[in-house]
Amino acid sequence: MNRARLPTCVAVLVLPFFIVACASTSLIALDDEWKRTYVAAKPHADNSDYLADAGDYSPQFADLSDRALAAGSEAQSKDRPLAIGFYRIAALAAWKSSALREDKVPEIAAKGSATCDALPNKAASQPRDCALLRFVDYFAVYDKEYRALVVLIDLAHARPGKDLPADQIDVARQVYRNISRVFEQIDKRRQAMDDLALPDSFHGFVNENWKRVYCAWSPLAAAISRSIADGPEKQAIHNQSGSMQQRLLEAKINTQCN
Amino acid sequence: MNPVLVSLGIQAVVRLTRAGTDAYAQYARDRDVLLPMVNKITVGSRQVVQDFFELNPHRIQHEALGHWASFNGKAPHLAGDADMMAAEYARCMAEDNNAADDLASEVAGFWIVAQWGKNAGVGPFGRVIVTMADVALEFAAHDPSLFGIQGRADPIIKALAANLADLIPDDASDLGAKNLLGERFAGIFLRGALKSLGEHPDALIEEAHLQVLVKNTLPKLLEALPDGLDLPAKRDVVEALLGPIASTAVATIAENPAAFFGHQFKNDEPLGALTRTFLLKVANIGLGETITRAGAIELYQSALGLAQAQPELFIGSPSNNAEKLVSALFANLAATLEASDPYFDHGTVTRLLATAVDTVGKNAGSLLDPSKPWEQVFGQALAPILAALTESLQTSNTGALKRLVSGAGLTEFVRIVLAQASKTPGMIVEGSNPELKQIVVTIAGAMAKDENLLLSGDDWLAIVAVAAEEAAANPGRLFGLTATATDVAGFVIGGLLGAATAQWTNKGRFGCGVLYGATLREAIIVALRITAGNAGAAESSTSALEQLAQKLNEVVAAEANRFGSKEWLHAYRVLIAEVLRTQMLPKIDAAMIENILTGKG
Repeated sequence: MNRARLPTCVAVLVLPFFIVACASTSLIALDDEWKRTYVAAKPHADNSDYLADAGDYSPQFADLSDRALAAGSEAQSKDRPLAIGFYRIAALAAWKSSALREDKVPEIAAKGSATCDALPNKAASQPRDCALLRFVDYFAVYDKEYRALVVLIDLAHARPGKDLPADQIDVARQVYRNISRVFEQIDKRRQAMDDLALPDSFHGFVNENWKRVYCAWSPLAAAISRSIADGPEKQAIHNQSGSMQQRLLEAKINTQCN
Repeated sequence: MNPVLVSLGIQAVVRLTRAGTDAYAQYARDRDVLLPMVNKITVGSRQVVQDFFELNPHRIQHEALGHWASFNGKAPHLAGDADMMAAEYARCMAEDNNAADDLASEVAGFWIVAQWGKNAGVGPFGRVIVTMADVALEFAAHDPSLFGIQGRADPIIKALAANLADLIPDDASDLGAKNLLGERFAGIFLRGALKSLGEHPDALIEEAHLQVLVKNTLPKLLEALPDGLDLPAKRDVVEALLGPIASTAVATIAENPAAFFGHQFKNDEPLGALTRTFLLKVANIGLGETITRAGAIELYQSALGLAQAQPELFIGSPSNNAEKLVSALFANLAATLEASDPYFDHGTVTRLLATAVDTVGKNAGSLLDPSKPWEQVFGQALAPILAALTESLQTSNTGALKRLVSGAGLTEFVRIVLAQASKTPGMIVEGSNPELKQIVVTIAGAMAKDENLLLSGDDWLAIVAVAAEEAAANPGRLFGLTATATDVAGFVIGGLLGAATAQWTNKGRFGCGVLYGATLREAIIVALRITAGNAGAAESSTSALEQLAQKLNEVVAAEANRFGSKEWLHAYRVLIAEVLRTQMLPKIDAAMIENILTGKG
């Protein structure tokens, strides 16, 4: 071998690896940006209405989601694990972008999940990211329903009997059904996580969100219960409440909401 | 510059770069990330309580129903209704949530979550280090002197490096979960080291015969171990050691026993011929199923003992005679095993056959005649004993017999019988050996009847020794060898045991009886010795002999303050002779015993 050509040969051989390294750097940068934006959007760590705090940041989340999705699509053919990382950021940012981009969450999550399925050990190859992509669209649906739910609850709690005006009961029933569905879907997906080597903190993240869904569902269900006459519908609401509590308790999740 | 090293260098740069970028990508996607929460509803405490009981009215206790109606605005106001319902709510929450966990991140409002739980693969830094080690091993395999290793260790280091480099996967993520990493490296090192040692035993071992042993056995171990990176399970290693490795090791030693055990074990010496033949046989059939390692050692030791005690058996053609003995022993082992199944397992039968070789070898005189097929004697001696025991066990596997066959006393039992039989001309003959068998059937039958274990294992061994000795000295008297002959020993032992059992069963030690343990053993020995010389009178006095022990028991128990075991035994010695002489039972009372004890009777 000509010694003079040795450095060139080595450079040619290792160049593809540096291209992959650039993509990794990009993932780290987007992850940091997501973290910074979320923390900035939430000046008070009191878990109150996040949406109100985050309002000004929706465009930033939407933009971040857009760029992460593009990076994911680009990395898809070269490095699927990295692409999944980008899809995770895209989905999370879209979820927190409120109305600007939350409707895109199911599409991004589906893309990410399909990429997970193409990995050698499927979701088990990248457990946290792939598991998150199974939940994120339902969390986004909840946050969307939450906006209507808050309005309804405020309306009911302002009335002496804490009930809903007659013209809002059907709206409330729709929100009730949607949030009930979110609760059921989270339960279904959390039961399918056993085959993944997930850290305890991921289970904590899912459980806490699941409990929040229940705690938001309860005042709406109570308001509807107070607004309708005794009968099968009221009984069904009570039964649903008992069933939700039971499942939370079976998962060793505290059901106290205040 | 060495072109191979240049090529290795390029490969190393590429591999390390790839490992580095892979590790960086892994770091990027596996680092902890922030996961957000869904929006949380904020409802006042009073409203939470009201909502809870609106949805769960059945949880309100009866005495609180009035307060609930007041609290809910459906009845006139009751003072303290809010406090009452808050207490009710607290009670329900306490009931429901006593086993529930508090969620850790209620305050933070987000979660920082890692990619992996406990089964994470090799981390980014581990990945680079593994690759660096692999690259270094490749260089070492090519030229160990690069690492300052020279001399005799050079070939094995070279081989070890090459084998380890082969075993470490190029992609470190193939090493699997991090918590198993140590075990996998141990597995890799074990395989690499074994393979290298098998290829170059001369690097560590100077003795040529041990080099051959290592070279022959290690490939078998590697073959037997399951594929994969994991440290092989202990069971796999044990199975490999017991199976193909043991056979190969044993065969290797058998090829040259003198190299392993010294000049006495040369092939043309009896010990060498026997060792070679025995080990080849064991290697052929394999350790584990037909013969265990412990059994093979016992049998081998007994065969060596025979060669030392009776060297004339092997003179002339040590190899042929050793072959005859080993073949006969293994044939006998298989036949005896089949005949005594399921009462005796492989280990027991092997041990008893070793005992037979040892005992007969030490005691037999003309029995082991080099001009006759002496190699069959051991099996012929053992077979009737085991056949008799099997027959007795089929009838009743109880009492002292059950204890005998399940304990260590069985070997001693066989040794005692065989020692006496092999010393006695004509007691072990070619064929079925009925006399030997009858002795064992009688004793074993009596032992089975000792259900209260009135005699210890040692007591029974003492009785066996006397019975065998008296039978040897008095052929055809004590033990009925024909269908019509009386089994004198059987009814003498049975009578005494029956009397002892009747008294014991009735009142145990509180009945003040003395006929058990040493007293019963001595009584049986006295009876065997005295009837062996007067079997005819014994046959005519069966009834009186049976009643003698019973009567003595009654009188001694009734006069517990005056008579004990020594007195019982003294009186029995005198009275049994009297019964045999008169063939009648004399009148036995306290006065008569007193007279016997004072020498007036």
